[in-house]
Amino acid sequence: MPTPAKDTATELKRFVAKWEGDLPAEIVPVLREHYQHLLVLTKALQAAGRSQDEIRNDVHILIRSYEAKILEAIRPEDML
Amino acid sequence: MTFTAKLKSNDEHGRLAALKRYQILDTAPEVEFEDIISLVKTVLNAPIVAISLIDSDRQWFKAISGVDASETPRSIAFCDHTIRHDIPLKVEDATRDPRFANNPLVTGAPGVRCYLGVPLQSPDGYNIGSLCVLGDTPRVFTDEEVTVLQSFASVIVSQMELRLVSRHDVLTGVLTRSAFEVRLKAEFDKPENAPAALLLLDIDHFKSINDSFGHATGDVALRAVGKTLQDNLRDTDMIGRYGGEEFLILLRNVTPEDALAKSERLRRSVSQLRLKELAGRKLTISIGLACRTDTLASIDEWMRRADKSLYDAKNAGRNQVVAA
Repeated sequence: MPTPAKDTATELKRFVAKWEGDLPAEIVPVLREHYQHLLVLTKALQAAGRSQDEIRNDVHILIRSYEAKILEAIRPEDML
Repeated sequence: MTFTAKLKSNDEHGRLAALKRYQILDTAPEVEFEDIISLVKTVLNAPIVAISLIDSDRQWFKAISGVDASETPRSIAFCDHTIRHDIPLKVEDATRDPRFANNPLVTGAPGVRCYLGVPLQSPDGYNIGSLCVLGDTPRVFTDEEVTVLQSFASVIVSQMELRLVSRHDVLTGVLTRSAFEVRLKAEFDKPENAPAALLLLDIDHFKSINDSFGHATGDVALRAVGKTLQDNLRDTDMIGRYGGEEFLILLRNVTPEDALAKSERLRRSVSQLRLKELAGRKLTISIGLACRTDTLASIDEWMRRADKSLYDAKNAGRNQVVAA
């Protein structure tokens, strides 16, 4: 059975991979760093006794809320 | 890129510069920060949670839950104590802590009794603020709770970095086109129809600069123009890169006369630039100016007016300002 941290890590990895190709190069390392911090948070939440479903939901909320920032960074001129 | 650096605790000037770099003070609420404090509140079961940024003489809350406040004087801020160290500040019972027992936030509303704050440390090592939880009863915070709060603080800082990088053009440091357009729309949608002017400007003969001196020198010119324009704008104005050698500027709260005078000053400032890379060649810009009027139906129409004025400025010989 997967641990919450592993489960969420896979999910996060997919999320970052989804955007990386379209993002301006300067944003990618910042996004990766952010992803690392989310992973650490996942482990901290797990250690604090939060359930797998709760952690998954927490991470979804965090991803959803900064997805708009990422979309804002994808410049139409870069996609031509 | 690394997000860990040694704490620079004795450089208040640098700390404030690091904070200003994020351009976040006095900005409107943003969902990603609201979501974080909402999660912290749930996970740590805390009545009050805040993202506090420590300005020169106040703490300003980017997000806060449980108290109706946007800022307090820095002199009474618990978080001002937190940012002086790179470890969390735990206060189990403020009424028994000589640092806080007489603090008005303890003796009066909201009656703070317990506090846990972790610094928000910028990648270059400055504590710009704190993520904190507060309560009105004494509380012993566990190590696990401290670790969770520290992890949330790291997420907040990298989110602020993401916010900064995603909105700014890496070459010139001004807003990206999409970030500018988001803010322009917000300005346009304001119900009070505040006076404002939109400037669309273009570096004259930029293609020939690239052709004569190469693209690296073209980049130097773009950076220099971007910086000169930024240096001559007020904090309330806004500048973005529209694409290529074109920039957009929004001047807020200006009369048409002021906007024209300001545009002329910007044009003159750029024409006074002397770059050794250009071997004596002058840089000039043409500016199309369109003031906001009651008859403007949309942002597109505002942009079209500025664009038409820029076209006229180019046709009239460049290095000039034309108002719609």
